[in-house]
Parts: sequence; C-alpha cells; structure tokens
Amino acid sequence: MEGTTKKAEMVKLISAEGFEFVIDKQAAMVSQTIRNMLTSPGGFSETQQGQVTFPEISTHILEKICQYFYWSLQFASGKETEFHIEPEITLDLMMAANYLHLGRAQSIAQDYKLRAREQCGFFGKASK
Amino acid sequence: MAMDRGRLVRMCIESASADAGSVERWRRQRRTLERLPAHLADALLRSLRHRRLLFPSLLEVFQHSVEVVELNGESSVDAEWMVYLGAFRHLRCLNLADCRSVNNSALWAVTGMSCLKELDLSRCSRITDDGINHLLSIPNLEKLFISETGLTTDGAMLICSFKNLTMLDMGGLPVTDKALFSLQILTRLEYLDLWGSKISDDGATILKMFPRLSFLNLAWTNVTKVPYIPSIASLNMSNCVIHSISPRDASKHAPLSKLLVHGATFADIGEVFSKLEGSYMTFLDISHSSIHSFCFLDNMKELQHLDLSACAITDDLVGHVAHIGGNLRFLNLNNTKITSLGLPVLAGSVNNLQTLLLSHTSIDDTALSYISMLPSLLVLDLSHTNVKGFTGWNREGLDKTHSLSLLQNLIHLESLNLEDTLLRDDAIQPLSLLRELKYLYLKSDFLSDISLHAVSSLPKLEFLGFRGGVITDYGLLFYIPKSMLSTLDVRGCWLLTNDALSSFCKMHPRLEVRHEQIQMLNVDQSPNHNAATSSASPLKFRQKREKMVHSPGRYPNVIYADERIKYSREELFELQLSQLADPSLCHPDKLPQLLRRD
Repeated sequence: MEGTTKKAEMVKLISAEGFEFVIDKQAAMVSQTIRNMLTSPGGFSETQQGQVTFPEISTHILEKICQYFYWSLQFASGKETEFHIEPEITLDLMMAANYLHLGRAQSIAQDYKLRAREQCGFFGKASK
Repeated sequence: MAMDRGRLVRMCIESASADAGSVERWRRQRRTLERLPAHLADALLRSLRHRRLLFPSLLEVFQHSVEVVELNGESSVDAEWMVYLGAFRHLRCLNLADCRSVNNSALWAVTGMSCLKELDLSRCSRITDDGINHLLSIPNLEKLFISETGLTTDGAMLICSFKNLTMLDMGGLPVTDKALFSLQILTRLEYLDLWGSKISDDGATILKMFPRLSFLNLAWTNVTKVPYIPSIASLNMSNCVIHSISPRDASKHAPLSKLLVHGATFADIGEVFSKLEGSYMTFLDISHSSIHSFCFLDNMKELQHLDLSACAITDDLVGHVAHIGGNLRFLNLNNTKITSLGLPVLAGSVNNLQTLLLSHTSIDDTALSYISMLPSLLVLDLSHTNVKGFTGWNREGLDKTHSLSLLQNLIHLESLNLEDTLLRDDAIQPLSLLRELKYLYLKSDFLSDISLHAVSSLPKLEFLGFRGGVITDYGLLFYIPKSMLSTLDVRGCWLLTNDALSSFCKMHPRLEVRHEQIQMLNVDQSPNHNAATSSASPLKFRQKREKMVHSPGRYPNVIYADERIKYSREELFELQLSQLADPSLCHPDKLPQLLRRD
C-alpha cells in the first residue's frame, strides 16, 4: 500500500488486457469521464483506490490515450506540438475518446439500444 | 476543460480523412466500423466528403452506422451511389438537393427504407412523377423537400400518401387548387412551402384545415386573401397582390410573428395591417413593396428584424422606425431616400441594433457620428454612399478631421463595408483602430498600397476585400497579413502581375487570394480550401498541404495505365488486398472511373 500523498497524485488506468498505466492524476483529469469516476462522492472503488479499469479499451489504445493526456496539458500550457495519430488506430481511438469525453457510459449504451444491436457493444460492459 | 471535450475525436476524424492513403489503412476494419456510434460515423462521412475522398464503394463501410447523409450539390451522385445508400440500415436523413445526376431510376434504391424520415430532393430536375412512386413505400417520411423538381400536378397529388409529413416543400411546382385539396389529409403539417404554385384564393381556403401549420410560403402566387390559419407564426406573401390577411384568435395561439411581403402590392395597406396583431410581430420584411405610409409600424413594439430596403421611407417618416426601435436588432435601409438628416432621429432609439445596412443611400460623413452612438453594432454597410472619410472639409483643406475614427466607439464591430465610397488613402488610417473587425470590404479606384498597409495591422481580420485598388506588385509583396486572415480579395487590382501574385501565394500558402489572374490556380486548389473546415493548427495544415501538392507530381497519371497492362487480372486482385501496396497509388480522386469500382 502506498502513502496517501502518493495516491492523490497518481492514478492507475488498466486496459482490457490487464496492462496498467500509472499516470499523473492531473493528466487523467483531462477526461471528463475519468474525472467523474475519480471525484464522484459515494465511495466508489475508483475514488478510493485511484484506479480505473477499462475492460473495452485495448492496451495500445489506452497507451495512446495516456500520451494524449500529457500532450493536452502541454498544449494548454502553450507548447503547440503535433499529436500524430496513425490511421490504423484512428477508429478505435475515436471511439475510446468519444467515451472518455462524453462523460457517462450511458450515452453510448443508449446509442446502441436505439439501434437495437444484438452484439455486445464496445462499452456494453461498462454501462452495466 | 470544457473546450477540450471532443478534441481528440476531431483529431481522429482529421487523421482518418487526411488523404486517400489513410482511408485505405482503416477501411477494412469492418468490425470496428460496424460498432461506430452514429454521430461519429456521420462526422467521419462528412469530413471525407469535404476532403473529396468519398466514392461510391467506400460508402459500404458506413452502412451499419451512419444516420445522416448530406451529399447536396454533388453532381457526381448517381444511381451507383444510390445503390450503396439504399443499404444503409439506419439512414434517417438523406440530403440530395442539387444532385443533378439523380433521376427516377436512381431513387428506386431507397424504396422501403423504413428508418428514413427526412429526404431532400430540391432542384433534382430529373425526378418526375415516376420517382415519387418509388418513394411511396417509405411510410415514415416526415420531411420532404421536392421544390423545383420535374413533378407535375399529378405527382403533387401523390404526396397525400405520406401521412406523417410535418414539413413539405413544393416550391416552384405546378400545384393547383385541386392538388392542394388532396393534401388536406396531411393534418400534421407544420411547414408548407408553395411558392410559385398555381394556388388561387379558392385553394387558399383549404389552408385553414391544417391545424398545426405554423410556416407558410405563398410567394409568387395569385393568392390575395389569406384565410384564418389557427397556428400560423410565419407567413411569406412576397410578390403577391394582398387584399387581406385574416386576423386570428390571439387568445388561443401564438399569433403571427414573422411576415415577409417583399415586393408585394397592397390593395389597402392600412386595412391589411389594422387586422393583424402587430404587437406580436418580431420579423417584418416589406422591402421593394408599394408601401408609402408607415403608421402601421407604431404598435409593433416587439420588432427585432425590419427590412425597409427600396421602400419609400424618408427622413420625415423614419420617426416611425425610431418609435419602435427599442428591440430592433436588424435594420435594412438600403436603396432608400434616407440621408444623414435621418440618422439623428434613429440614433437615440435603436440602441440594441446589431446590423445596420445603409448601402446605396445618400448619407455622408456627418451620419458617422450618429452611427457611432449605436453601441451593439456588429455589421455596418456603408457601401455606395457619399462617405469621404473627412468632416469639416473646407477649401484650404484645413480643419478637416478623420470621420472614420468615430467608428472606434463601436467596440463590437465585426463587419464593415465601405465599397464604392469616396474614400482616399489619407482617410483610411483610422480603420486600423477597429480591433474587433473580422470582415472589411473596400473597393475604390483611388486606394493604393498605403491603404493596404494601413489595414494590415487589424488583428482579427479574417476577410479583406480590396477590390479595384491601385496596388503595385511591390506593395503586395511587402504586405504581411495577420495570422487570422483567410481570404484576400484583390479582384480588379489591374496593376498586379501574375508573377507577383503567384509568389505572394507561395509566401502565404494558407491564404486564399482572389484575383482574375489566379482564378485557374484557385480551381486547382479547391480541395485544399475545403480542408480548411478542420481545426488543424496552421503548421500542421501547411505540412499536409505540401504533401498533397507533391504527391501527384511523384505519381504522374500515366502510371495507372501502365499498371493495368503490366499485371494480369488475378495479380491485380491480389494487389488490391495487399497491405503493402503503396496507398498513394490508390488515390480515388486520381483513379480512372473504371478502376475505382472495386
């Protein structure tokens, strides 16, 4: 177990394959979804342990997301560099980004229900 | 971080639609494409269209996700495109307006699309009554736009099968009274456009049968008497002869708030307006009409938008406008007899005015001091007036003061039009004080390099029109546009040479330069201009642009013909599936039509 000060600064993001990314909490807060998970009152396990599991985001996408968080902070502080996105991952990254920014998993879930999808959706599990 | 929301999504869409090569690298990820949420798929499709990367067979990857397709104005859209679109299971909205190649048989592909609620076929002139027959199997259609198609009166009568219609645009079609009678079962209609139809007063009586009708356009028809329509809020009677517009029961419904009678002739103006609930009116367009008395304006206290252009309004009558000016946001006085003497009457009473148009009037510099008292002004048009830029002019040229400097009191001013005024170079300098200005239009035979350089410091300028000026090559090359500037219009600047223009374009690749000599150049670059809708940072955009410019050079068109001769059919199929194939070779825009259909 780590000390409380350490916990407050870093958070752990876990990919579908179980790969763990330990990043600055401030960086992770770029995502409204993660911000809500980490700060919502009511003692969710995410808030207490400072870790969030994404069962539907694969490791290479989550890695890119983490890179984006840091890039985004740098960009906000005036360092305008280019964030390169490889065309091969752009669709998966887009969906993950959409989920992480929209705030709540339900919005995606509703999106899927509307179209009466049978197959398990990208973030189907997260909404349950 | 609210600003940040969705930025990565936008960047992904940008990356996915960067060029044909990028498209090839994701288009075979079928599982992912099937799961794409609709709003992302719609946005990606839109972006591909803007970059001109869309072709029929690529549409297939979107058939499980896309809900909204907008292809309006694409003349290449034909039956082949429609076949792919017909397979879109969730398609809710299809916009094919101005798609000239869409004909009746192309429409056959969309028969029975049960999700389709909105269909725009405006100005697809090859669609006739037979085309409408194909649509009859779409039961849930709610919005249908078929203005200026090839429909006859018989075709118009078929429309009554779409029982769920709320919006119907039949502008420019030969809809007769009889056809309108057949439409009265469409009781859900809220929006009905019948401009230029053959409706007469007899047919117009039917209009009261539409209980929810709130928008009605009867422009260019023979209707003279508008009956009582329970829910009407917006009425367009432009270019009609108007005898009466029936009053309604104001206690039950929101009364008429928007009236357009552009170019209309009134039998008795007082009679028509006395019956209207003027106090609810927010939007009134009486431009080019035969109105001479403006007393009816007096009780329209809620008016926000007033168009009086080419009306018989004068300085004496402008008091009627001032009287109700408190809520006015938009005032059009173009082509009227208003002079500078009318402005003091207005100045104190129209304090919320955001747009003031005074083009083709005889106002001069004295009006500027009154205009500068309108604190909320965003758009000001002073073109074709007698504005000189100086007041207190006397014979020795002494005592003259810059009048344009008064405009700096307008701290919100975004758009200023000073085309064809009497401005000279020495009057322009004060314009550099308008820090919020985004659009500036100048056109004069007397403005030169000095003026161009004077306005170059405006920090927020996005559009600079400098037409007909005496700009030299030297003056242009030493002009340094600010980073916000996206368009420089120097049409009619006859001194500029081709060499100077092309080297200026090279120096400022992001800038769109308009001039007669480089119109051809602009045509070549048009796909790149479309790309400007993305939010790419300037640096990134430039790099991308250079890439796009270079690639055709490296792969001249001849190479495609060679490829077909070099390989057998089987080998070509293998190459098509190969990931190793150089994506630049598969640029869909560059490929001949035959090869594009894989």
